[in-house]
Amino acid sequence: MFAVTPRQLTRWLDAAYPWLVAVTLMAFAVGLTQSLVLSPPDYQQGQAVRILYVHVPAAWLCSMIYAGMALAAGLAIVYQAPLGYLICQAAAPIGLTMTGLTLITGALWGKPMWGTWWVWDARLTSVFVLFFLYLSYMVVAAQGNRDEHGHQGVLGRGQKIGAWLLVLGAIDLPLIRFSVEWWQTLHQPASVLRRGGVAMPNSMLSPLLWMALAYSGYGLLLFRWRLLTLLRRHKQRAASWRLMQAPPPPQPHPKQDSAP
Amino acid sequence: MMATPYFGYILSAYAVSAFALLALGWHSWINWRRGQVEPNADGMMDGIIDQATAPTTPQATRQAIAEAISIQKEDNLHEQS
Repeated sequence: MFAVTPRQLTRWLDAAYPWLVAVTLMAFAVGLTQSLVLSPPDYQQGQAVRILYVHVPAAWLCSMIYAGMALAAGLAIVYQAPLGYLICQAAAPIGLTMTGLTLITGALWGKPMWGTWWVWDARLTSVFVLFFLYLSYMVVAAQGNRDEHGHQGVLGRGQKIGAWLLVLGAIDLPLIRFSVEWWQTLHQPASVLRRGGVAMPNSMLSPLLWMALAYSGYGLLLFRWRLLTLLRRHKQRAASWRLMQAPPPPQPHPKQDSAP
Repeated sequence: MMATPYFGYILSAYAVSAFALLALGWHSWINWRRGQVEPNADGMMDGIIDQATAPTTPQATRQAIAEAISIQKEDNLHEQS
């Protein structure tokens, strides 16, 4: 990357680990208490507003994770850095899960509020496309996951094709972000990240931000576990490939005086 | 609580989110835990020797690494054939 080596990244992730666990647990405790108990019902949505405290953080994260993956993929392509491919491989299932949760919790909110589970408006459709971008990347990266000698590996041709897919698919991110401004959509415009300031009371903003912090912390924990697992597998396979290519070790001479 | 409007939708949203996040968390954590091993000299054989059976002397370590290498090599040959 790239000035970052796997060893450095591992060290940073290890140093942040206890803090990450503590902050995530605290954020979930505060966020869930506020979102389920303390926050008031919305004057229009009523109690259904509580669904947004799990829907919006997942929606934010699914776009942010994809942006990070596209950046790592781009750097991996340019600098031929395996760490970039491993980062994408580690983050993809997390992004896919967040996108799936965005779609499901959005439908569960849409049915009582809009009267329908789903509409093909620009925001919903662009997030649906994002779900398939994640899925396509994972399928491509897994299928071509062999080196030029046919050995199964963590890195391979599929990772490179998948990286290109990630970079090209990044066009979907501005579509998601600005779809509610560029087109007439059933989905409402942004309430937090918007020009003119936040358009919601603190009693609702607070649980939303706590839950966003909890989701982000948990996402980083998942990323750490998955990346360290991939790095270990990569090292194992690299070691075994070297052994396969190395000349056989000299055999000990049989003892002359041994029994037949 | 059950009388809360939209209770079923709210419960479903939180339950689905919790299930998905915990399932992914369990999968990620268990694979990471399985790979945690003793550090070694060259940094290349992480994960091959299980932590529970990690040897304690240099000689035993060399023996364990040699065994692990032969197992790994055999697996690779078996996969190729």
